[in-house]
Amino acid sequence: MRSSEAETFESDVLVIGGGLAGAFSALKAKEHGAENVILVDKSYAGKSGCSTFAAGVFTAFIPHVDDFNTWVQEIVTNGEYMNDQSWLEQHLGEVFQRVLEMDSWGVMFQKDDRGEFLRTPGRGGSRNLKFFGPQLMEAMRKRCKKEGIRLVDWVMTTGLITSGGRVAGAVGFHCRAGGFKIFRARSVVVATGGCRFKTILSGHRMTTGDGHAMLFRAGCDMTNLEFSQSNVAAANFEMSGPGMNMYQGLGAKFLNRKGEAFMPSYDPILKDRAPLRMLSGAMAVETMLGNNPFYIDMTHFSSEQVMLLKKVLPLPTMALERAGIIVDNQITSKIEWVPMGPNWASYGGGAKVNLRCETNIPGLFAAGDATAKMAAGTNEMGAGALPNAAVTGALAGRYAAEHARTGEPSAAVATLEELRDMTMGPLSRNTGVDPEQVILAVQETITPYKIGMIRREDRLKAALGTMRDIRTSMVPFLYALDPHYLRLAHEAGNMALCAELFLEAALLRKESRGTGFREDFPFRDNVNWLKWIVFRMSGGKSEARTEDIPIEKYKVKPERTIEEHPLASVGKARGLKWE
Amino acid sequence: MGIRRIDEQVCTGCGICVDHCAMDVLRMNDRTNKPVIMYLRDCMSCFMCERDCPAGAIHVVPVRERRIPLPW
Repeated sequence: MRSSEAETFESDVLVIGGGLAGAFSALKAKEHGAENVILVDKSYAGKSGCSTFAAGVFTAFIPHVDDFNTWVQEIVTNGEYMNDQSWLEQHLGEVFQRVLEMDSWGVMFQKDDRGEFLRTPGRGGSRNLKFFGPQLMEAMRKRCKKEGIRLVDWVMTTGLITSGGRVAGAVGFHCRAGGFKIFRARSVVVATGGCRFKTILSGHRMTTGDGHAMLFRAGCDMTNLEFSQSNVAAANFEMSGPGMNMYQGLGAKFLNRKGEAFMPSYDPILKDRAPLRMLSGAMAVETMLGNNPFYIDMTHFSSEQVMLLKKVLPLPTMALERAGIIVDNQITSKIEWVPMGPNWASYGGGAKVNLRCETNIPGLFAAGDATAKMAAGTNEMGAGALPNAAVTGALAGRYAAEHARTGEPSAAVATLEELRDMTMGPLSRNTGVDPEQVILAVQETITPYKIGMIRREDRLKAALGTMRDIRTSMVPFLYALDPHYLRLAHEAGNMALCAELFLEAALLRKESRGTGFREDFPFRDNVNWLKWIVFRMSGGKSEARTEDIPIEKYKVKPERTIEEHPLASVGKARGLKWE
Repeated sequence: MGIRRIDEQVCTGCGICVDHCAMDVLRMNDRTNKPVIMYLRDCMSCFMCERDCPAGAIHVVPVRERRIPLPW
């Protein structure tokens, strides 16, 4: 089908991605005057994305209850000073309004007898609101429909249309019927989530950096790419989604091969409630000591606690019952537990956006996990992905509507044949590379713990060499048997691009921060490395630059020292001889 | 291996599972008007189809079918 015959959608605002960020973008765009708002998703909006499988917890600063400066201090310290503190202050100022809106739209949050929001401890010292798993996105989809947002399901977007340096829309294809699709819009919000590289975390395997790839190829600044969100999950069976805030909040213990609770050695204050980057980093160091495998032990949870888990995490607990681990509201055995490979979600890499969620391309906005999570630094603000999605989604939608009203009309685009060929290409090949081959090749390259978790220049360079080979010898020849596999082919290609950017960024940061412990630079350097690394595609190549964090303007500043990273010192104390 | 069974005796052909599967594992068989497991390897055992089926026709097991590399 020539692009001139493709089904074309027109709107004032196009929102790509139907999770919480996308839903908020669409709703706020409508509220702020955009008449025609389309929300497009490659699956069924409200039943896909990390939002749908979210772990039942939502961290919200409540203005009349919480102390602003305490929260800023805590989040920046946990974020290792990589936070954009202007963004953080805006986030804290906005988030409770979003909660009240969600509450009014039918999202159910756990409340006490007086009807007040109930909050209980999660990991990393946070206090979370609780919601009931998939019910959150079900309510949000209903609200979008009620407000007259046009929902386009089962269309995967593969590229942004730009003209004269501004965004003009996007292209894609129908994942089931296969037709090429064109979207023309004055403003575009990319709310496609992070990139989980189809790793072990069941429930997140649709999150393949599709928006990251589109944003990068369109020339957007991308940052925080070296910081990986390191969730942990069941090693040997599928547990449908994350749940660590709940498990840690209720008192889960982590044991190594010897049955030893090792976390107090790595985080004497928070112990088993440590943030994920410390937990997975600790497991990596313990593995170097030969103390893997690891287990999560929740056998001491009371039946009331297990019943709470069932309400807040209905899908993971169904998996545990089906696996014979939950019996009569008791967790009957410890479970082998392992970190995911590197990935971006809730914190970590994405589009650099200003306080209006604008990218550096006029008319192009980003929200949620597709952004670089500016407020979070190297930590997830304890269940901060959904709050970030709500806050950035609302801002992106509002300013996208404003741009659509006041921006110049998009220039007519002469031809979309190149975008069409890029989109439909794999379907037209008779022979080619299996998307499964690329998916596995990417995973095999970045997942070994000595690549992403215990990093070193020689290993990173070798992995980057492999990824470049994958990009040149496999990705251009991806083939697809049908539209379902066309989606898989694009997901594979997007994963490959994200993996390559991750490794490039990891090589550049010559210190240890976040989940990126550098064996060759085992210190946290608050003298030379209070910087963000920013990538932009220019002339077909990726170019990196650093930007100084304006730490002097911020409220929370670190000691300007270079200090051995705790993983290095604790590793040594536990008998590890670093090379 | 993820979604294991759709009980055709109990299934009403409502199509909710086909709509709600985020990984596009299921399609409607246009001859039987019942869902079929068309792309099994993409099933991630999320249990959403089993949860959302109004007839209780679906059974999922949490077994990982696709080989996924682990960090160690």
